[in-house]
Amino acid sequence: MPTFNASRRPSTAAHNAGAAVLLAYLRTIADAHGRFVVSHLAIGRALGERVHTIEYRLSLLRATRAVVGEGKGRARITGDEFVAPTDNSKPDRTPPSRHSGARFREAAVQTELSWLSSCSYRNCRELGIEPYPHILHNRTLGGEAGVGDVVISLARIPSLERPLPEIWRS
Amino acid sequence: MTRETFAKVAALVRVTLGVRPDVLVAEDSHFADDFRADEMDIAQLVLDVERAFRVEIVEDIAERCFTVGALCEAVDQALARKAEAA
Repeated sequence: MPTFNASRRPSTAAHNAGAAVLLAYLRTIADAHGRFVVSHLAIGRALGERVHTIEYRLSLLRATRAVVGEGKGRARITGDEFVAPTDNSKPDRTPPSRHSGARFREAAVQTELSWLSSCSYRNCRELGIEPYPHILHNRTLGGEAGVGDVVISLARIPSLERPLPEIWRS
Repeated sequence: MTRETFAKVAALVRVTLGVRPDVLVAEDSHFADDFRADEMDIAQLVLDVERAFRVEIVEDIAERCFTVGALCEAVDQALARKAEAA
């Protein structure tokens, strides 16, 4: 079974340097509003970094805008057609189907999105970063966003840049 | 898929996903069900495979690689595309 190993553990200095590179890259793919959806595969290819390291760094970015499929189905992201949650309810994880054309709304969503803690990724839980908003996975800019996908802005959260969890220390 | 592709992919699966030596890696092994890999583990595996084979797997295809066999097929397709382009 998968285990964490030393190659996945950035030092704090490496994290800070890597976060700067990551932010620079994300700015290149963000739209005019600073929003983006991107897959870990795409970031990994672009930066040549391990996806778990990228995930950790992404987790330290502020979710000033969140994009979440409302209800069932998938939403195609084009221009300003971003979907924002209307409450803190947990997103529906039913199997995706084509979106039926319901209206999307854009909203600037400031953290406090309790449903973001619903992330099921094992390493997020093990890292103890689960309560913090972080980008969800496997979508590309201009592509389809699945229910629960989140688009985050590019601001960092200094207060979250705490010492790395023990399991990431080399 | 070729035997060479499977052998190389299986070796990468063991390393990237940390599969124990006593656990069988077969063509129909499922990354999530058999090796407890999550989506990011699989993304990392795809990246490792791409580097090892010097190919790029189309993202839509990569997203559907749930088994070792599917990943091998994706590699073979990428190798074929690369050969055609050369």
